[in-house]
Amino acid sequence: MARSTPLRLTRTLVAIFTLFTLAGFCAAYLITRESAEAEISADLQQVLEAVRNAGDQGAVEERVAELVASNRPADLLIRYAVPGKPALGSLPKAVAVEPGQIVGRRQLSAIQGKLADSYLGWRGSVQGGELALLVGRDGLEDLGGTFGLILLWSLIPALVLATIAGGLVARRARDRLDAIEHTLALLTSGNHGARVPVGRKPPDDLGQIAAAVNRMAEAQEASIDSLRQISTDIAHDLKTPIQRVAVLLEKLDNGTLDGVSRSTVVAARAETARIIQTFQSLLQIAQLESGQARADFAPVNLSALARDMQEIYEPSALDSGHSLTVAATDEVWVQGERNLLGRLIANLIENAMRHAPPGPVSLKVMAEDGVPTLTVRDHGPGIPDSERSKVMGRLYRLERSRTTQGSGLGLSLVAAIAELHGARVRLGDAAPGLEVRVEFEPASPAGSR
Amino acid sequence: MRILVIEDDALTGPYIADGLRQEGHVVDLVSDGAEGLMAAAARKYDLLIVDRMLPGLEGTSIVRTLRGAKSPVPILILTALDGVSDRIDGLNAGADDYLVKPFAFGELSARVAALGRRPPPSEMPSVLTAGDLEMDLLSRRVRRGGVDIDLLPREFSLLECLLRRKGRVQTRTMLLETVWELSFDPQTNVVETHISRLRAKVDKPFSRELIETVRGAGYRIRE
Repeated sequence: MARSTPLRLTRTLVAIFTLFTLAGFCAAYLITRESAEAEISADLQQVLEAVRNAGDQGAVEERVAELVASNRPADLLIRYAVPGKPALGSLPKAVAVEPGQIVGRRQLSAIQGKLADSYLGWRGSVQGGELALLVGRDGLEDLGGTFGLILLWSLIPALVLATIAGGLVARRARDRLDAIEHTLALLTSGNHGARVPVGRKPPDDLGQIAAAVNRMAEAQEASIDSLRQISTDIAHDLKTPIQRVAVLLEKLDNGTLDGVSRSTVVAARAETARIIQTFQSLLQIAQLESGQARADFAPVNLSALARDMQEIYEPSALDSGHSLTVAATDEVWVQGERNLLGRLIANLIENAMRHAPPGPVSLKVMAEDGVPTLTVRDHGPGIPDSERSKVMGRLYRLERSRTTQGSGLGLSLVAAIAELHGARVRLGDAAPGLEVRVEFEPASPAGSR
Repeated sequence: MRILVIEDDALTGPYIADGLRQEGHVVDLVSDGAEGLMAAAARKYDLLIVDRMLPGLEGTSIVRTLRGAKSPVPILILTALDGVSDRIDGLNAGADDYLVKPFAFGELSARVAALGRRPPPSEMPSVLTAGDLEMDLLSRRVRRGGVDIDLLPREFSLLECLLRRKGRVQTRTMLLETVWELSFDPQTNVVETHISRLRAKVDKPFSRELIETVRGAGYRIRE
């Protein structure tokens, strides 16, 4: 599948949203943490001042005892050791700590009570004794967890919601884009009636594009219709005069003409016949395009028809040095009009015999995955890639075919008959040779005919 | 035969009428649809040739009206478009045959002859003959001058088609229609090649040619 713009946009938006949220959280965390650190060191300073301000050693000892009593070990640990006396405070052992150093819980083993994960430490001498202070940093440690939780509970639901909502919106947009693309593909492949379904009103941006595509398709259809009408009108208008010329030419041949005049008349008659054939084909294409003949559709055994056509053409194929073979073992049925399908096969065979040098021409009928398929393959020069779509158009002839006979309508008649039957015509390179595949709509098997 | 031609084109009508008169038919020519219907109802004709597009009344309407009135007269429709629907419309309306314009006179003449002398079903013989040629439809054997001729199924059908209308021209399209039940105009000489294969078996080994080419029209078995 092609990459979808709306989906890609949604993904990008979600990623940007996540990035900014994370960055915001990080900044908030860092700022909060910094202020918490400042608070802790202010606490330490306060305790230190309280101890230092005591007048003498006795007062210090009293202050220390007060502090130990009024603070939990998780908030404050203290030790005051005067040489020659037992140490005071909640720290039983001396801890090697520098002022401003962070001490982890592991360094403080063998202390009763609940401890903080880490402490901010200070050590120095006060009134002839050594004072060690450790202020708990639990508030700071908790901060990380709290921020993590907030992040978890706010960002993840937001992300999930954004992804789902964005995905839905993107899919809707993609479906509508797909509808437009599908319609454009149909229009390109010659289905001029295809339109994009236009939804709610007033239309949004995609609705406007859809409406614009529809307007373009209508304009295109109108101009194709008028072109068709013109060529049909011309063929109609010229048919009667040409018929009259044919009648007059036919009246001439009474044996009263001399040799030269007679051969001129014969040539003129042949030319008229060719013009008539071209006009006949043009009119038939116009009539096929109107779709009227669909009313006469019945199940047709395509395999049997292919065998009949092979039988009809085999002698003339042999005469021109071609060998016409048919491979139609399974009975493949399609819904259609037998004469028109016969004409389609006849045109493909005649085309192969006209444009390919003597060699094998093979006719194949089979059902590929339930799709009835007719293939005609020759060993001629084929049709260059660039010209393949053009040869199906009316009166188009390849440069090298200008000298060979034919109206230039053979393949367009094939295309018109195929379209009437809802079949697709594909021109392929059989290397060497041209391979024409006609793929029909699957029909119910075992027809009544 | 007495033939009524209903054709509005000032050139085609007289052309058909003159041609048929030269072949010995009695021809009335009418150029308006409504007038044509009245003429057909007023007089007993052996054959009607009706153009599909007419002023006054459409060709298929004329056919439908006549058939509705239980008229058994054979009708040949002339249609300007080589389209299936047109052909089927005409045949559905009750016409016996159709011909696409523009046509060669030979084709028209052959079809007129086929329509005018269509044998009643009871007259279907089981053995067809022409000169020293004998075709047994039951045993599907063909003999000429006492010699068995081995024919492929389609060659048999082709010969049968010619023998059934012995002495009358069968055009290429008529042969395609009868033998292969396909009505389309091949751009190549497909029918000619089949005829020449048939000739190689039926005529070549013998002194007299039975299958005759009628220039600009088709083929015929000599009576």
